[in-house]
Amino acid sequence: MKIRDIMMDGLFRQNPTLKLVLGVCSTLALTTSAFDSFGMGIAVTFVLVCSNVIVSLLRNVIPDKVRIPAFVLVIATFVTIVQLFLRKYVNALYASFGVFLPLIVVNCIILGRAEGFASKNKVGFAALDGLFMGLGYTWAMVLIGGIREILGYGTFFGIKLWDFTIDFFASQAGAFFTYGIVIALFVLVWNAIERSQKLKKASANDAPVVEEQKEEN
Amino acid sequence: MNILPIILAAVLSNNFVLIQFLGICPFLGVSQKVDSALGMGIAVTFVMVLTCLVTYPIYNYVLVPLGLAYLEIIVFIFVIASLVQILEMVLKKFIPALYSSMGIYLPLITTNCAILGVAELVLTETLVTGLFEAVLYGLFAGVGFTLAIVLLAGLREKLDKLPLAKCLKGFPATMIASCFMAMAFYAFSLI
Amino acid sequence: MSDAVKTTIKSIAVLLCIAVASGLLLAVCNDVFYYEAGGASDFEALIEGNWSVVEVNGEFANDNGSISQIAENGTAHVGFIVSGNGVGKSGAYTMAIIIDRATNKVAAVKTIEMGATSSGYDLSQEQLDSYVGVEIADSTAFDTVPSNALVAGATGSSKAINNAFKVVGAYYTIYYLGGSAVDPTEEYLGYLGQISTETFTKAEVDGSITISNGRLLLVAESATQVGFYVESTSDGGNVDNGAYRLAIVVDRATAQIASAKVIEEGATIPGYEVSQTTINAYVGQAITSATVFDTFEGGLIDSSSLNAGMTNTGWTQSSRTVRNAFQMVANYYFNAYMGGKHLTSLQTLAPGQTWTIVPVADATALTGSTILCLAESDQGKIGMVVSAINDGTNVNNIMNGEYIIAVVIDRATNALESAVIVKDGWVSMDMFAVPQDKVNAYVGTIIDSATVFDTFEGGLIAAEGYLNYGMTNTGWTQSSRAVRRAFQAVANCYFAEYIGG
Repeated sequence: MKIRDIMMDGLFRQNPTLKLVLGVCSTLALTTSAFDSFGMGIAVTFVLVCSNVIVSLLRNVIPDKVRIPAFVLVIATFVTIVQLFLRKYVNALYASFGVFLPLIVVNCIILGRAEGFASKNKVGFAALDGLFMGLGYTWAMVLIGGIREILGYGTFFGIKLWDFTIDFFASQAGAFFTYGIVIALFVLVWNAIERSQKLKKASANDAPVVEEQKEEN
Repeated sequence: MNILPIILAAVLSNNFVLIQFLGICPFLGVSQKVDSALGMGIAVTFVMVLTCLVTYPIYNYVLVPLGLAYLEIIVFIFVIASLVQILEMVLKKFIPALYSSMGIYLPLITTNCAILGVAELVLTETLVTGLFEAVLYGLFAGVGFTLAIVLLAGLREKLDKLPLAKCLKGFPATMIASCFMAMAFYAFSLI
Repeated sequence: MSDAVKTTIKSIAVLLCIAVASGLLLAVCNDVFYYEAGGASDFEALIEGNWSVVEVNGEFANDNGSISQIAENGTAHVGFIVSGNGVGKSGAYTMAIIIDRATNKVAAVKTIEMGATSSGYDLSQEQLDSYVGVEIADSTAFDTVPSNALVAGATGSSKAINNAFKVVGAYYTIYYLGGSAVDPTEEYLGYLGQISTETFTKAEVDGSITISNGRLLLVAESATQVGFYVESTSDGGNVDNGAYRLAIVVDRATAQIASAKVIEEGATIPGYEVSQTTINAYVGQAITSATVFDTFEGGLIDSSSLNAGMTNTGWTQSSRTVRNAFQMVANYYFNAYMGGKHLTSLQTLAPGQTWTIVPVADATALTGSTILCLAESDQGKIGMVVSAINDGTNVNNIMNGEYIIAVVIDRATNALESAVIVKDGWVSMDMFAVPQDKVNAYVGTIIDSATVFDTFEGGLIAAEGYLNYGMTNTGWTQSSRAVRRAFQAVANCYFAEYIGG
């Protein structure tokens, strides 16, 4: 069930944006447009997967003392590749990301996963972890981006919906506000889901609720 | 010389944290207490000044002339990591008092988007036309960051005492407090 | 070697290896993803061909932007990498624009670097393509933005992109059409000077009015007249006719053609030219509708009267081409200056009656307002469409836009019967918008003097207490003051035209 764990962790249980609250800078800055949010999500996912794979492959080679610089070097390489690619093929995203494109390097999510997971697990799992963490980040970004774009500009992915706009949501203050509210709602909803799942298990087993045993590494 | 516009822009109208969204992780992570916030702010300012001092000339006089502009990200992050490492060693050895008050934040700063951010931004900021202005920008960007983080720490010390709904406690409350701060700073950008 | 030293050497070695490996990988990627802003690659992507870069004549730049690179595809196309100056919130746009040299029309366009602050404010390729097919006849080719390329909500970006086209238009005219480096406006104004003694200044062309069978080269206004320099083409027939260029002046007070003259003859067959006597048949005619000249035959020449011995039937093409010029002027003048395009607003506000437009003596009598349209109905009502801007001080240097209202007044009782906002002005926040019930406060007033609304506060909205990002505004909202100004203009005009004094 290791794969299922990785999937659920990345997408929901340890969602980097809504639960761990990492990589906040890009979430606040780029969620004015659902398209930009989606683009960033894919870019981060790509870098996550690639860097996780390389870090995992090299995990027994890199000495502990220099692991952070080594990880950062690897991540920086892939971010540069994304930068070159976007500049040529998706110029619109390259322009709207601005300074946040190189800042993917210091996105806490990527370094966090490299240090916390990829350096301690096999390549396959590392790759999957990168993928699902990235997807978790992406859906959270698109959710916040969608809300801010619909309410702030009246469009969704660039398609005009209506003329009604609340400029607040397009502003910096609105970024903080929306993000805060979405985190709160996500915590509410997810806790409710987990509670009901626990209750289901309890009634099924007809036994007191216990924490599910974690698999040994 | 654009001294005053740079100062005003870096600290207020283009505040790194509240307008440009850079350096949020430490902003959220180290702002529970005013003391630690101040320490982090000073550390960040130090590193920003040093970073601009080194990366600006490296980009303009080494990378670009050699046609190696695509190595920008890698070189910058390497420079920042090295600078921080050296700064930490120097402080520990020569000014232990200072090290004990803000040195612990230094490792966190390497991956702080505000540092890499300021290195990138001085390259494209129209107000910056030379090394002196680049360093000036870095200095006051740090001041602006410190201002924001200390203000938020002040707010959070009060917030922690409020009875809030469970789901609002922690990050959501901090976000909303930041939201109001952002609104206030927005007023500066209208100047 | 001690362990510590071993580890240090290993660390450095590992880091070096990673650095070298990544350096190599990036060097490869830098080539694979090679990007050059401009250069043949961008043009190749749009239109295939043998593109080669040519020199830009003297680093061309004007008020609208600058050209950074030009490339030619043999003699078939010429492509420009041009930067159009930013407008409003949008930064400068860099565009790749290709002109087909055979037809002088825009063949393709692509954004190289957008200036909009977010991709939400950018124009789509479909919207950009509305420029395709626009012909560059002279440097004024892009003075009007194609309607699909002027996107509401993205006006800054739309205008910045238009600036890029204007630069291309100017350069292409000078260097590829051998045209004059001088803006033709002076020349055109000179033609108006031949038929009128007034001083004219160039006016902006209203792009929403469709012109057919020709184009407006110049629209200019003077104190009492509106002058046109138009180029009209033939509307069919067997013989090819050249385009005619005429200068036509309309008197504003009476909406009559004051004078007209042919500047450039288009007739290709001798004997078919249109004489000044024939043109004078149009002088004195009043523009009562957009189509007033459509069936006017006073200036047409019967071709059977020429070339005796040959059987030609019908009107000559040249005289029809000349008539097209007057039709163009009538259409444009009626819609732009007599408020013809505003008739629909009155028809919606007070349906079931026929409205006839009446010329207004002074459309801008009240500062900050313009009477766009004055009309009388067959049921004794007077209708007006008026635009106005705020008459108070501007808070925070935010100027709200103009408001346009439509009103209906009963002539017998001088009572304001109904009113509605046709177009809202720009407001910085939705709470400042003026709702219909505030407009209805003006309804029912008897207009017995020109100043009846000057101190009327029933339709004003108080701005006190509104929290706008921490700032408090006091007084009346600018938007409601703009609406009141419009009503003041209504009262002023109604009094002057119908009650007298």
